[in-house]
Amino acid sequence: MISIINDRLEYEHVNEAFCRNLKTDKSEMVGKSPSRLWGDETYRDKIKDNIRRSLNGEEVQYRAYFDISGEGGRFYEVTYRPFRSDRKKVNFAVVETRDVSSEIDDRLEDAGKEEKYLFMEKFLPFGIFSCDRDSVVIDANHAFYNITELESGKSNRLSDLFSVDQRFISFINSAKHGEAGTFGQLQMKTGKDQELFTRISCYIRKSDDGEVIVDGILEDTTREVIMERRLYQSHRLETLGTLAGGVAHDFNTILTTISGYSDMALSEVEINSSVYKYIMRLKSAVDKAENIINQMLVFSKRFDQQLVDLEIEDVLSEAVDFLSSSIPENINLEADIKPVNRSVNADPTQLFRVFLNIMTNALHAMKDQGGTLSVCCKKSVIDNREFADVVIGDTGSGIDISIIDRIFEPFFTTKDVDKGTGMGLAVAHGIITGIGGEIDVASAPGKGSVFTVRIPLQHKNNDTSSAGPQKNKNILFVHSNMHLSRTLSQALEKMGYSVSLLSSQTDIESILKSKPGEYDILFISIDFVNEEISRHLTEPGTRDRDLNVVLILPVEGNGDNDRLIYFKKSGFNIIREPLNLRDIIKII
Amino acid sequence: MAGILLVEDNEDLRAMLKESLEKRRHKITEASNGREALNKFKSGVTDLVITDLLMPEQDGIGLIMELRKIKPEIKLVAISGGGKVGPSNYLDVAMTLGADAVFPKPFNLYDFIEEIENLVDV
Repeated sequence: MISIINDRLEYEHVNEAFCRNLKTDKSEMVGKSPSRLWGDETYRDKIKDNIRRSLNGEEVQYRAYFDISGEGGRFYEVTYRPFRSDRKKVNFAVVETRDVSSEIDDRLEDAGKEEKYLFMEKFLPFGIFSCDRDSVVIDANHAFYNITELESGKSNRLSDLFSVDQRFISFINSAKHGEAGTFGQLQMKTGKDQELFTRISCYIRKSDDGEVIVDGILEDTTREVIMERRLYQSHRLETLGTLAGGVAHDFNTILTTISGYSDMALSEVEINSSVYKYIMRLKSAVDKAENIINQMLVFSKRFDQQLVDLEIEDVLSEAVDFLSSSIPENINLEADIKPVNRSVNADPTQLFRVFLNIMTNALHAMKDQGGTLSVCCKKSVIDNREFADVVIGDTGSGIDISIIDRIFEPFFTTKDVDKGTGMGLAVAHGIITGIGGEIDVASAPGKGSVFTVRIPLQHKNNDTSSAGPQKNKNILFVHSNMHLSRTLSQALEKMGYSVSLLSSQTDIESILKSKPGEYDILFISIDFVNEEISRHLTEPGTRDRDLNVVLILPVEGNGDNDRLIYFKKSGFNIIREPLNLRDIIKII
Repeated sequence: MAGILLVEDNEDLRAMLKESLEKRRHKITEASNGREALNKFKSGVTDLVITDLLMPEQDGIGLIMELRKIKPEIKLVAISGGGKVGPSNYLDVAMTLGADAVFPKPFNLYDFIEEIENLVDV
C-alpha cells in the first residue's frame, strides 16, 4: 500500500491497494488528514511524529499493531521516505505500509518462549520499564517512550510525570525488596504535558550490587477511564434529574402555600406599614425560588420545550450577535458559522439560552488574561446518523480534571458566591439531552475548554437503519437516555460491534417488522415494551428466532412481576440499571 | 357560594386554600387523595373540584377521569407542581381529559380564586 503525505500533513495520493485494504475511497482520503482514517489517538501517538521526521529528511521505519476495520488488529510495517518534488526541500513523505501479520505469526509459531516475550515487549502497547528508588528510568521499551513522550537516552525521572497522583512514587520510595503493587487510574502528565490515565503494576527487586530496582508495566488506560466516567456521569445526571424533579414538585407546592398566605396577609395590613413591606419581600423571595425551581425542572427534563424545525446556524448567529457587544476588549471573537443546510428539531429560545450560557462561561474563563472565543458550526456523521455540531472554545483557565465530571450537575459552580447559581450548564444539559442531543466538554487546565453541542439533524426521510450487514454482531439499542446509549454504543463499536440506536416507539415496531434478521441482539428499556412490541417479540412465528432480547429494567421497581416472569419464560435476558459495560459484554 | 371539594395531599397548602376560599364564603370539603375524594364526592353536594395531580393512592388524573364519568358537568380545576406522564406535561394531560382550568404551582392566589368563581357562577 502506498500513500503520499504532503507538508500540510494531508494525503496527497493513495493507491488502489491502500483503498482496497483499508476499505476506503481515494476521493475520501485525498486532501484529508491521516487522523480521519486512523483516528485522532493513533494519529497523535503513532503517526504524526513520523511524518514530521520524514518531512525533515529522515527515513523512518517501524512496525506497529493497528485495528482499523474493527475486525481485529493487524501488524503493519510502515516506512516513511522523504521525497523532494523540487530540489530545495522535502515536501512529501512517501509512505509504504506492508501487512506483516502472517510473517509475524509464522515466526512466532516456531519461536521459543524468550523470543515470544521479546516480541511482546517490542510490539504490545505496554510500557515496560525499570527504575531505581528515586524513580530514575534505567531501562525501558519503545512503548514506554511512546506513552510517556519522554526521550530515550536522557535521564528521565518518573516522579516528574506523577506529580499529581503520588501513589506509585511514594510506594517505590518506601517499598522493600520483594513487594509488588498495582496502581489504577493513575494520573500522569507526559513529557509533552499531555494528561493521561495510566495503570502501573510493579515489582521491587535487588540488583547484583544490592540496589533497589523497580520493574514495572505501564499501560495507557485513558480511553477506558473516560468511557467508564462518562457512563457513570450519565447515570449520575439521570439520578440527579429524577431527584431534582421530585424536589421541584414538592417545593412548588410549598411555595404556593407561602405565597398564598402572603397574599392573604397583604389584604389585611395597611399598604404603608412595615409589615406590608416585609410580606412583599417574602413574595419576592418566592419569585426567586420559583426561578431556581424552574431551572431544576428544565435540568430534569420535566419541562415542555416548544419544538420547531429550525436552522441551528440562525440561532447560533443570533446568540453571537447578542453577546458581541458585551465582549471585553481583551477577548477576540472568531466565529465561523456556515450553514448546515438541514434543520434540527429544537426550541429556539432554549437553544439560544444554551449557546449564550456556554459563551458567557467562556468569557468568564478568560476575563483576567484575555484570549480568543471561537464559535463554529458544522455537520458531523456518527454511526450513519447526522448531527449539527456547535463547537464553542475558549483559551481561558480551563477546567480542572478533578471537577470536569461534575460541571453539568445542578448547583455546581466554581464562581464566587452570588456570582452564579450553578444551574447554567445543568439547564443546558437538560435542554440538549431532552431533544436527543449531547453536550460534551474537553479541557486542559491553563489552556482552555471546548464545548461541543451535538444535535441530531432531521432525517431527509424516515430511514433510521444503520449500515449494511457487517461481519460482527449487530445490536439494536433502545433507550430513552440518548446520552447513555451513545456512550455505550461508542464503547461497543470500539470492540467491533455494530450498534444502532433508537429512542422512538414507532420506529422500533417498523424496524423489527421490516427488517427480520438484521439484528442479532435487541437491548430494550422496559419503558418501550408496549403491548404491540411485547406481542411481536414473544409470540412464536412473529419474532425473529435468531433475535436475542435483553430487557433493561430501571434502577428500582419493575412494575409487574407476572409480566417479567412471562418475559423470562419467553427467553429474554434481563438486566437492571445502572448499566455497565462489563455486564453488557457478558450478555453479548 | 359554592360547594368545593379540595383534593391536595400537602396539608399546609390545603389549609391555606381552604381558609382563603372559606373567606369568600364557599363551603369546602377536604380530601388528601383521589380515593378519599371520590367517597366524599358521592356523599356530598359539590359544584367544583380542585385537585392536585400527583398524589398517593389515586392520583388526580385518575380522579378527573372518574369524576367525568360520574358527573360529566362537574367543574374541574387541576393544580400541579410540575411533572410529566411520558412526554406530556401532567397539566396538559389534565386539560385534555377535560379539566376546566389548570394552574401550575406556585400560582397567584387571587387569580386562582377569580377563575374558580368565574367557573361556579357560569
